[in-house]
Amino acid sequence: MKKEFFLERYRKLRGDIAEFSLRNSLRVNTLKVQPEDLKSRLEKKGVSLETIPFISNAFYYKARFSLGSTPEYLMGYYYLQEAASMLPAVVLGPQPGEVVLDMCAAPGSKTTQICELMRNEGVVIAVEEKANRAYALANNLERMGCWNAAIVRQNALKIENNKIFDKILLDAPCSGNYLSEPNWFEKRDLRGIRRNSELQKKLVEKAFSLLKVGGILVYSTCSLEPEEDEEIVDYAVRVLGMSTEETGLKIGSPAATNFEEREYDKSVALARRLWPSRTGTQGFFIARLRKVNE
Amino acid sequence: MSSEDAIEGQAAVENAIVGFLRSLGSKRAEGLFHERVEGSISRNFELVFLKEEMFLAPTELVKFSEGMNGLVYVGMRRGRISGKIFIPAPSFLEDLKPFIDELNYAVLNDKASWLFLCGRDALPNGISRLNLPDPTAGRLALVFNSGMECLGYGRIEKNGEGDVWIRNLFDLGDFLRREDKKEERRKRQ
Repeated sequence: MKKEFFLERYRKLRGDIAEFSLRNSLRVNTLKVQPEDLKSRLEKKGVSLETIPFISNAFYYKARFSLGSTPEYLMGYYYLQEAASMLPAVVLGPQPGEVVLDMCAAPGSKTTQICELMRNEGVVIAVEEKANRAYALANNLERMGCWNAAIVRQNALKIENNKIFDKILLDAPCSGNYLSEPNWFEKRDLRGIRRNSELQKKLVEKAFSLLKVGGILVYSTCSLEPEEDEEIVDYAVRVLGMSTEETGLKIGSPAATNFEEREYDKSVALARRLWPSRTGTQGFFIARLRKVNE
Repeated sequence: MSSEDAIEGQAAVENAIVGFLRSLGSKRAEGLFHERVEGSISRNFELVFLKEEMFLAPTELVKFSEGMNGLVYVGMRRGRISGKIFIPAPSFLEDLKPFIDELNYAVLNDKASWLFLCGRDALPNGISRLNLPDPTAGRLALVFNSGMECLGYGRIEKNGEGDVWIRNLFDLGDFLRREDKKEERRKRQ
């Protein structure tokens, strides 16, 4: 029954579902190794690798053993990361020398990617409230050879307002999607989705207050629920006065501009929705927003 | 902290790191310390201590993060000072590579490299090359794989025939084990 409830919602968004196992993927850490060198090392061990067409320096792989404990992994040559989750940092486009905030950072897949894109130059502040998750984040920063990041253990909503950032990544806590855990449809309901939506709006407001005028906020979730996606971008546009921008992604579909009785700002369509049935990735949503005034 | 305390603290750190470099067989440990540690500080980096952990961080990052609530990690982790002992992090070991000719080190074959990463000792038949400016048993040696990637370090030991083997003190497999260890400690408390 619950599955049908969600399917009906997805139909209204012109989406559908497909059950499949996600392909394993990894992102090469070009701070330490070149993609062709890593490919050749792993192939010698019998790993088969295939370039991911929509992202640089990343591979789908098949291996008979865990790639989470090879010498190359321990040396920080790659990060095991689902393909869609590599996209938000790319859409953010952090440049060397910029000041960047990763608001919900652990375990660090996107933080380490941001450091890599910045070639370890500039400032990255990674926020994580929970001790064990902050510990995992620290380990990943260390393993991947990231030097330009600091971790602060605190609630992202309580970050000091005297700090101003050029760019902010808000990969928000969300309900996930049906490929992210078994029996997802049975475990989720609208009440939980709405609760997440309220928190996400508060986080976007906080991000807005920490962003310089002209600065970029990338908002992403691995949820397919419009209350956690389009509704949040609509809130950023209508209430906070932010403007949406093209993501530059060649994957995914334009976000919805209406859902049930709700009409979203037309510019919300610039955000991208990744339906697993069409992209072969997990479900994802990514929007790029600019702060145009205080 | 008074300026006298700060100077005393700096001296303790220097002594701990110099002690580690000396244990690696370096005949000019003080010089190496000044080249590696102070040399990197002068290139717009600063040493930062958060509890026992020592970090080397870009000045820009240190200034920006200064005063932020809950700061637990900054820049590059270089190691830990425990009492008078310096326990180096992988980034510190990696940075010693240009100076390895003057340090104790062992190069392992592929099988021994893998075992070392799993926390095992490096036995004589797994060691393909040794450079021991100070071969005294009890001294330390860096451990590399055949591609000269640093895997960790250990203590020089000798068996009954006088063959050298390396007792594993630290290896990169620690990245996987340390979270399990922390979880075990948390459960015990």
